[in-house]
Amino acid sequence: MSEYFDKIKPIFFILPALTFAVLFFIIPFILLFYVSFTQGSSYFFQPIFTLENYLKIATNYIPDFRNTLMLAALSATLDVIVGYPYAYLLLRKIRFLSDFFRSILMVPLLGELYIAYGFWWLFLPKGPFSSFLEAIGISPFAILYTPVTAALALAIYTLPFAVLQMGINISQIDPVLEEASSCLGANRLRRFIHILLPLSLPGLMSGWFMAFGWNIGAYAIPYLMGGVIVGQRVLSIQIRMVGLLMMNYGLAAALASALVIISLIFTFISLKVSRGVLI
Amino acid sequence: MNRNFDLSTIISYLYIIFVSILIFIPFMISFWRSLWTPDGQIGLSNYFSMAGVFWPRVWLSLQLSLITVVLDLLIAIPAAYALTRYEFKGKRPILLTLIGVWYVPGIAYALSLVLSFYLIYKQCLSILGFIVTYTTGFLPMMLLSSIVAFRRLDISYEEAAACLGATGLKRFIYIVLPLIGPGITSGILLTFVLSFNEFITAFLLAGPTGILTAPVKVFDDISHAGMLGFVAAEASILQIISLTVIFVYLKIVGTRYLKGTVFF
Repeated sequence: MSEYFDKIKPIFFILPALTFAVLFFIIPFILLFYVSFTQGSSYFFQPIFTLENYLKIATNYIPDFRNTLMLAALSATLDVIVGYPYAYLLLRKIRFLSDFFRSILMVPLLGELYIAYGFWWLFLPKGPFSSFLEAIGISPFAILYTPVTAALALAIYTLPFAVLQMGINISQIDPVLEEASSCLGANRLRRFIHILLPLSLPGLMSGWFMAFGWNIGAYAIPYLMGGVIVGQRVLSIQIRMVGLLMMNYGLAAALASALVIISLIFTFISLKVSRGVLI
Repeated sequence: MNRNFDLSTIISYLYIIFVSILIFIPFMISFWRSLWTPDGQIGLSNYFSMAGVFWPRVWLSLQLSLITVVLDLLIAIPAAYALTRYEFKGKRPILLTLIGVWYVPGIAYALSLVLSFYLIYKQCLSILGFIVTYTTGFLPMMLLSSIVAFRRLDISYEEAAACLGATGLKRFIYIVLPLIGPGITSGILLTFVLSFNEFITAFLLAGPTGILTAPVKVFDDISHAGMLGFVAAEASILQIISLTVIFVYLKIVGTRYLKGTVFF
């Protein structure tokens, strides 16, 4: 009897957390997929099952997917380019105030909203940056509502996630390897190309995928940086418009399901290449 | 010994400082904007003009995040204990179920919740909806910090207590919980800061429930009156509260328990 009790004891410990996760994560997502196969808001009254939503995505909403993925990829690439030296230098070069600089990485965790607002204001007329831009002959609006600004703002938002993944990876590389190659006469460039880069490639890739995964779900930054403009509209804005403003829950659920599937694919690849850095 | 004047170290510091400033720019701009009063002078009047409508929202957000922290502690610590100390079938699927929400885009999660609140959990179309959403959404953060803390905790104390005849529950209450305390403070900090500033789920739930949390109020004001100083003041207040909480935590506890979650 007590042996049997020992076996089910861990289930008791997990049960409260599992209840929350099943009730408010698993079941809503099953519902989301289910609703995505119904027409309009018909699920609320008399469900009409159809594949029309997915057909509509294939015919009308491919540009939105392309915008979202391009924006996310651009900003994830920026993250990796800026974040890789950041993680490396923090681990190998910075001794004084090292914890202070690591703490700064917690600031973007406050959320995309404030980053979006700060960046938006930066480029507005009368904003701090606009007078400089006007002085060199560029209209601030021409910059504000472009994917480039959005990618910059997103890059700041997701930098901590990329740096964390790369930092965990680089911290596992033995510095002795670099010292040995330096003793054998390799210069900095060769050390980087032949020793550091191959060893830290899994971290680099998982950092990219991590940042990418956070980028495709962002709302406030694309919204304020021209993401509402039809040609540049991203999925998160489209989902809210279709679902909560146009009340077409079926189509919104289909768009959201497609977004979830994309992000799960990328998460899966990320966990594969990083060999599970973060669990 | 010219280590202090090594050129590469200086360049490293310059680079790190440059990126740190980039990270801080959005906050600095909104703070700078909030100091300019409508009549073009520097002052704090922006911080008082919206106080009446904004402080209740901040108070609501604070309460919500405190409830989230308490609930997450209650459900995450036992779960993390079982996941680190016991071997059982289906451990990996269970772990994936618990932290899976971290890997789906916030907008999709929010939409699925809106649908399920409309169709299944009708009583969640109230403040209760926010509580369950935040608790489930930030469970991965708390769980992750707790798992890190449990992995670091020496198992021999529990074994000694077991040898002396303490049962599982007694061991958990008298040995594990007191020892794990400091380790889970990082989870408390992160859950608090993240849920206090949570935007996208709160934004989508704001319509059906009619409840505006402080970040959603800020976004609302940005889209209606973004050029005005009081919006910058609102954004600054929320950031200052969050940064103060982080700063106080780092002063008291330091960075050691954050390693493995947001530190490396």
